[in-house]
Amino acid sequence: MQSRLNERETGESLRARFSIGITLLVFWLILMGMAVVTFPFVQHSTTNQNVVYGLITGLPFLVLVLLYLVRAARDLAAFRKGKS
Amino acid sequence: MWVGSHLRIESWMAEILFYGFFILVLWQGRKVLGRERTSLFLWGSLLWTLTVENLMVLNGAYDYFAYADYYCAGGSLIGGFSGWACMVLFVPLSISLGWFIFSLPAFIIADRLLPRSNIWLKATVAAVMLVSLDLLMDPISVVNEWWRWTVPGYYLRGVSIGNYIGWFFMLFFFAAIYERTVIERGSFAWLRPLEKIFFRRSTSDLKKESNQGVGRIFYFRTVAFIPVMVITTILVATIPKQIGYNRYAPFHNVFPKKYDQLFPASAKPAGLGAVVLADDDPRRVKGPRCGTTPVGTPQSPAGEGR
Repeated sequence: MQSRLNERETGESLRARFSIGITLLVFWLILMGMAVVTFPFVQHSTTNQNVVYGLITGLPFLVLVLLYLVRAARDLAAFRKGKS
Repeated sequence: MWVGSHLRIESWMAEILFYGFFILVLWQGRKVLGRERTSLFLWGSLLWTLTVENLMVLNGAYDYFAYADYYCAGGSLIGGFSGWACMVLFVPLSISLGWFIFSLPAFIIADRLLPRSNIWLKATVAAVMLVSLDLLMDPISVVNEWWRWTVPGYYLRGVSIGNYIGWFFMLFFFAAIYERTVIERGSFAWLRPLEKIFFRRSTSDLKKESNQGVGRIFYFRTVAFIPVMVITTILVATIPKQIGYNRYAPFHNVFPKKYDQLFPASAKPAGLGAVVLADDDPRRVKGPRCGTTPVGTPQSPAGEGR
């Protein structure tokens, strides 16, 4: 894996790369949870509409995060394989 | 806390969430980027967001109830507590830290997805990701009154479209400045003459520059790009305004007097909503929890409706 962000990748930095993607995904899931329990948004009459809206608007975010997590998991697996 | 079957998520709850995630992202960021680079990202993003957000509040785009006492403890009003633990002028500190929580991972993710691309393409991907996340967060904040939009314009789910344009350019420019300065150790051609005067040396190649020197140049560029970011946002945000807007000001602003003069309620075009949440809306916060009138809370202009 090539990146200019870190001079030398270690197992710890690769694990942190993976977990930072998970953290952002968890935050989005918490927001979705909030959208379910809180009031309907302006222009909405039910919280189900909040969920549909959240899924549609969150699509670019979800695609990019999931792509990233797959790559980060592969980097970590390759590092572990190279080490053993 | 419960209004019917719906939970009102208070701003202090969101603040606890922001602070918790801030510690987590800072810890993870330090492992990915290293201590110095993460610190630069953090201080740079605080400088960037606090300046831009305060400018926007002062301009009447939105407000965080900096003037209001909304909460009670033991039956009496908590003076100066608007629902945010720490304000930097008119903006809660946790809002700026919240921006750091999203922007640092978005920057790292864009870099991993496009490792060999130029900085502007990476900045675009990071910014798209951030806007996609904010499209969910901002409508939640509006119905829970963590902040209020107080600008005329085109609104989507209670949020001005200008907000999303602003969020896009905030990270677009910041990510580019950070990558070009801290990671590539390069420069921006248009800033070179200014930097030569300011730093009294050439700043086109920072590879031999100390970390402290890079930091100073990075903060300088962050400040220099603020007008660029603000003007770009205003210009792009004018497009949806020209197409048509569906909400009119003024309402509940930090500086209602100045804003009333700019946008008098009497001049409101027919058919446009004045406020996002009208006074009789059940989602609207009805002052402090102990039942007394909040100190310093501006009242709606007479005759204002939805």
